[in-house]
Amino acid sequence: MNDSNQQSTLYSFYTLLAGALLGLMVFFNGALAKYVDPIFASLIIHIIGLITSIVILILKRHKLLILLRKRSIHWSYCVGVFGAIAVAIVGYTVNSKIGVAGTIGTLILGQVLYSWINDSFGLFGTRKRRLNFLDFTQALLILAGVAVIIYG
Amino acid sequence: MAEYVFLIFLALIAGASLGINRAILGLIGKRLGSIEASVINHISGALFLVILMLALWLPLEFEGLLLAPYFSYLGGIVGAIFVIITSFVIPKIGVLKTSVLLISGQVICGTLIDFFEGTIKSIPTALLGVTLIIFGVLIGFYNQQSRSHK
Repeated sequence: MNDSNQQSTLYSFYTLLAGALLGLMVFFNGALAKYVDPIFASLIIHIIGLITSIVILILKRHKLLILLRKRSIHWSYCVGVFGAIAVAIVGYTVNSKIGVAGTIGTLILGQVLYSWINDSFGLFGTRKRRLNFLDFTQALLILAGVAVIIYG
Repeated sequence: MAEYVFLIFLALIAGASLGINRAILGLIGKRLGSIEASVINHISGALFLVILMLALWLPLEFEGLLLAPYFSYLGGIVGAIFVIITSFVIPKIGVLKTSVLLISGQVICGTLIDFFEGTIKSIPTALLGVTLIIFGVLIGFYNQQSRSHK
């Protein structure tokens, strides 16, 4: 194993761990959404997330000014809108005819299909990547596993 | 039928939105840093939700907030850490690999939560699903190795 290879395996472990955090987050957010509207719940969670991020930023960098000194591409500041759009749509479709299982399955399929397109063309400032047959097999196996768990 | 098509299309759009969100998080992470990306993500997301609440004229249910168990607020803290990690790994491993691994971790964690809560539908089915996912993850590791040996 060479160095960059070991590193990308490490990044993959971080990402799996982040996925587990996402699972926990869905559980906590669902608990809050039992008491208030899912959109209001998401707003409250965003505010807590913002405070947490600012605290981490101050602890790690000892300054907030980097946000003002360095600039990203102007449209990239809309980043959170896309996450919030997903929250709003999911809040609507879980209570619709397709229900929780239909929403989760389709949401996951949408993520994989879109991500494939994003990497193939290098959209939104990402690097263009050539995807191979094993990437396809990996995506298919994971989608199959999800389908078995949700619909099995 | 038309209604189902519309709902499925909407849910697919939601999935694509998550992909776009991650791609841009990676871009900001590379330019400003991943913690900075998380701050910007939470500010713009919160602003959009405020506008949405005004547009839909949703009430501010503060009584509900007081009734909710304290642990339901942990989602915000966990979410911030999640966004920081995502923004850090996207430029390194790409959007597809990130999404596929996030889904794997999320579904395995969700299945474990269901198991401990006693709400799991069938344990053998869940085991089969988790096994397929683990195989998928392992193929990804193998793919990385064979690629870097070229």
